[in-house]
Amino acid sequence: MNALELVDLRVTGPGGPIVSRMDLTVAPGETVALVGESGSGKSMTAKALTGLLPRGVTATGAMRLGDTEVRLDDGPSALVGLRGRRISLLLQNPFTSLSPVHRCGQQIAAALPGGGRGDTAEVLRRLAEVDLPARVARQYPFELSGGMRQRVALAASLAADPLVLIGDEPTTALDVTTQREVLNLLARIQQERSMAVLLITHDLGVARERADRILVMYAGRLMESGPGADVFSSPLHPYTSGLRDSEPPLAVRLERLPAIVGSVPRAWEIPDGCVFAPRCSRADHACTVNTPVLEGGQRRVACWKPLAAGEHAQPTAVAFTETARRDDDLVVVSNLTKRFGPDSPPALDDVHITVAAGEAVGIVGESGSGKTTLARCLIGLERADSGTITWADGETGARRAQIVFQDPTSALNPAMTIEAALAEALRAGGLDRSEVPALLDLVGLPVAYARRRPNALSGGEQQRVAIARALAPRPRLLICDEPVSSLDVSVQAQILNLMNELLDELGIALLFITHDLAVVRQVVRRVYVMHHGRVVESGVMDELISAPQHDYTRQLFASVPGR
Amino acid sequence: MARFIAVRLAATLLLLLALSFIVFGLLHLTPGDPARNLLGPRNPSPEALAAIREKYRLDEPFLRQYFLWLNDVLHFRFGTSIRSDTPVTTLLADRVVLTLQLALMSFVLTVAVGVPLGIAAAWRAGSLFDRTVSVSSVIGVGAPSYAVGLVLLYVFGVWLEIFPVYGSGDGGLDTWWHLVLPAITLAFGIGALAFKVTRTAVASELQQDYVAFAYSRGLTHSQVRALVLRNALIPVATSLGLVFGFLFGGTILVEVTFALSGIGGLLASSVTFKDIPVVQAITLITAAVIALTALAVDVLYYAVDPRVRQRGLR
Repeated sequence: MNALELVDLRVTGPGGPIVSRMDLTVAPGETVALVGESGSGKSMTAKALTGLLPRGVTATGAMRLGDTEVRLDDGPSALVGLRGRRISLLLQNPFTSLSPVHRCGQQIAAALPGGGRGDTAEVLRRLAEVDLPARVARQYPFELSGGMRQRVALAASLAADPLVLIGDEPTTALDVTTQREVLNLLARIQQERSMAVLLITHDLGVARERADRILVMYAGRLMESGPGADVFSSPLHPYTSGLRDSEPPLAVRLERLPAIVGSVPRAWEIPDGCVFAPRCSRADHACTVNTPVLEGGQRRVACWKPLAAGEHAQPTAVAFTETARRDDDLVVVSNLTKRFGPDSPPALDDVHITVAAGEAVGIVGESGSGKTTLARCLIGLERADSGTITWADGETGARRAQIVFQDPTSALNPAMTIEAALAEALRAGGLDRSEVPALLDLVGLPVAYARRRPNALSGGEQQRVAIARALAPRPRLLICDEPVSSLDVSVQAQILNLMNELLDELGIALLFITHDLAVVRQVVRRVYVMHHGRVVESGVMDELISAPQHDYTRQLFASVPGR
Repeated sequence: MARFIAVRLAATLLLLLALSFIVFGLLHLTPGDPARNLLGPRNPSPEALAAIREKYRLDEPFLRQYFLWLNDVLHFRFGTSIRSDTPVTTLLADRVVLTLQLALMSFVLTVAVGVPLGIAAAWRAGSLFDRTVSVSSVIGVGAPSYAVGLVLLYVFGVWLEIFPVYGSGDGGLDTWWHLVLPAITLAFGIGALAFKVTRTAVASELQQDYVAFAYSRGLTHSQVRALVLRNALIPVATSLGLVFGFLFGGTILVEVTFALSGIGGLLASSVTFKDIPVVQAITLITAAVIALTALAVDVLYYAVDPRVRQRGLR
C-alpha cells in the first residue's frame, strides 16, 4: 500500500490556477523528487498536502495517507489530526522555521505523542536519532549552526512519527558540505523508519542523486515523470531537456550555456495549450491550442512533440579558449584582516588577492568564509582592521568598483523607476541620463523598460537592471556577490551568458563571489578558495579541478550533489 | 545579568545627573534676577532680596550652588514654593502619589483591554471583528483626551450619576473610585496604541515560518498560540513599558478636566506662576520615573529574549 496517494490535485489562487491535475504516489521507503523552478507550484503542492495554504488559496482533490482518506475539498480542517502523525513538512530555512525564543528540546517535545517537557529521555532519543548531542535540548536555535538547526527541525518534524515527510527545499539554505550531511542523515532515517519522502527541490543535482523517481513540474503542471536515473539523462520533455542543459557543468567551461529563452509565467500569465509552448523551440501551432496530458507507462510525459528516448544529444560543449592573465594589476589586496568583535573569529585573516585589469577572478567559499566581507572591504562598505588595498590607477569612487548583490528585489528601490535608478548611477560616474537606453540595451532589456518599476520585472530582469546599474558609472572592477543564487536555473544560464558577453565587450575586471563551483567555472579562469576567513588555495580553475591541493577544496568538490 | 543591570543603572544615573544640571540651570536661564524671580511678583525690599540670596546661596559660585542644591535634592529637599510659601516636598507628596495612582490605573486598563483585543484581532485578521476594532482604535488614537473626558463626565457623571464628577476623593478606596473616569480617559488613546502594537506584533509573528512548521508537525491551536504569544511578548512588553513613563508625564489635561490635584495640574499652574522650585521638582521627578521605567523595560527585554541575553543589548 502506498504511503501517499494523490488524485487530481488542483490548487487555485486569486490570480488563477496554481496547480492543475496533479497525480502523485509515494511508497513507504521511497523518495520522490518534485523538481521545478520558482512559480512552478511545487511549494503550493506541499502546502496543499499539509492543509497550510495561505488565505484565498483553495485546493481540491483526493488524498490517501496510508489507510486514511482525506478530501482536500473540505479545506484545512481535513488535515487536522493527521498532520504530524501521517504527514509532516520540513521547511527550507532552518533560521526561521524554529521559534527563536524556545529551547530546542521544548520544540521537539511539543509534537511528541504525549507532549511533555523538553528534556525527557524521549527528547534525548530523538536528538540522538539526528546525531545531535543531549545538550542541544537546553539550547536555543540561535546558538546552533544552520546544519544543526535543520537537524533539530528534522527531529521536530518526525516527532509524531509521520508516514510521509515532505521536504520543501530542506537543504537549499545550507552550505554544500552541510547539505550532504543532512541529506545522508535524512536517507538513513528514512530507511530505518521506512518512511515515504517527497523531496521538493529546484536543484537537479540533489534530485538526481537522491530520488527513486523524479517529477518535473512547470507552471503548475507535471511535465514529465520517471525513474530518477533516467529523467535527466534521457529527457522526453523539451523543458526537462532545457532545464538540464541550463545547469552549468563543473568539468568544462562552455562558450555559451544553452539557456531556455524567457522566464516562468506568473499565475495570471499562464497560456492556453501547453504551458511551456511560448518558451519551447519545438512548439508549433497545435501546441498553443490543446493542453497535453501526462501519458505513458514508467516514463510519462505531457507533450505533443516529445523527444524520442535517446534523441537528446549532449549539449554541444564548445570549450572556451582561455586567454592568459595580463600582468598589469588593477587591485592588490595584501594582509587584509578584519574582526567584527574581540571574541569572534576573524572574518578576514591575512588575505592576499590580486585582480589584473580586465581579468575575471572567482572567490569561492561557504557562508562564514569571509568572501562577502572581502567584497565589502573592496567596495568601501567595510573598513579592514589592518592590511592594504592598493588600486593601480587613479580612479576613485564610483568609477573604481561597483557591486551587484544576490537578491535583486531588495537591491533595487521599489519606488524608483528603472530609468531613475540608472540615471542616479550614471550621475555617480559623472555621466548623463541620456545613456539609459544604451545601458538597457547592453544588458539585453527592451528600452521601454525604463519607465517600469522593479516589481513589474521578473527576477532575472531585475538582476539585469542591477547589473546595468553597476556598469553605469563605467567601473574598472565589477564585483558580483552571488549574483545568480536567487535565480532559477534557466534564468541563471541567461545571466551567466550575459556576464560573459559583457566582459568580452567592455573589457572590465570581474570579481565573482559564489559558493557554487560550477557557476563560477563558467565565468572565470582563476579562483581563490576561502575558508574561515583565509585563502586556503588559489589557482587556475582547470588545475584546481584536476588536482585540488587543500583538504577543504577537495571536500568542496566532493560535496557538489549529483555529479 | 547582574553586570548588565549594573551597567544600565549607571547609565540611568548619569542621565539623571545630566538632567538635574539642566533643571538647576532653569533658575539661571529664566530672564531677570534669580533672586527677584524667586520672590515672585512682589515688590521686594532689599532685606528680602538679601535673605533670599542667603537662603538660595545665590552669591556662591554657580557650580557650588549646583552641588549644594543637588545634595538637598538627594535628601528630598526641593526648597520652598514661591507661590504658597510651603516646602515643595510637602506640596508634592500627596500629588505624586495621586498621579502615580492615576497612571497605574490607566496602565492596567490599557493592558487589560488593548492587549487581548490586539491578540484576538490579529488571530482573525481581516474579519469583521478585526476591522471594527481596528477602525475604532484609529478614533481612540485620534480623539483628544479632554474631549473624551468631557463625554465620559457627561454620560457617567452627570447623566447616569455613576461616578463622581469632581476632585480626588477622601483617600483610600474613595480616591480610586474618583480616578476611574480619568483613568479610562487616559487609557482611551493609549489603549488604542497598545491594541495596534499588539495586533501588529502578533500578526507579524503569525506570518513566520515557525508557525507553519508548528502546524505542519501536528501542534494544536493552543500550542501554536503559546509559541506565537511568547514571541510577540518581546515587542509588546517593551513598548508597553515605555507607555507607562509616557502616562506618568502626560496626565496634565486629564487632571485639569477632572479637577484632580495631581502633579500635572500643579506643573501647569507653577509654570504660569514661574514657581521655579516646584517646576524643578516636578521635572526631576517625572524624568526619574521615565528613566526608571526605561531601565525596567531594558531589564524586561533582557529577561524575555534569550538572544539578547547572550549577545548583550545593542
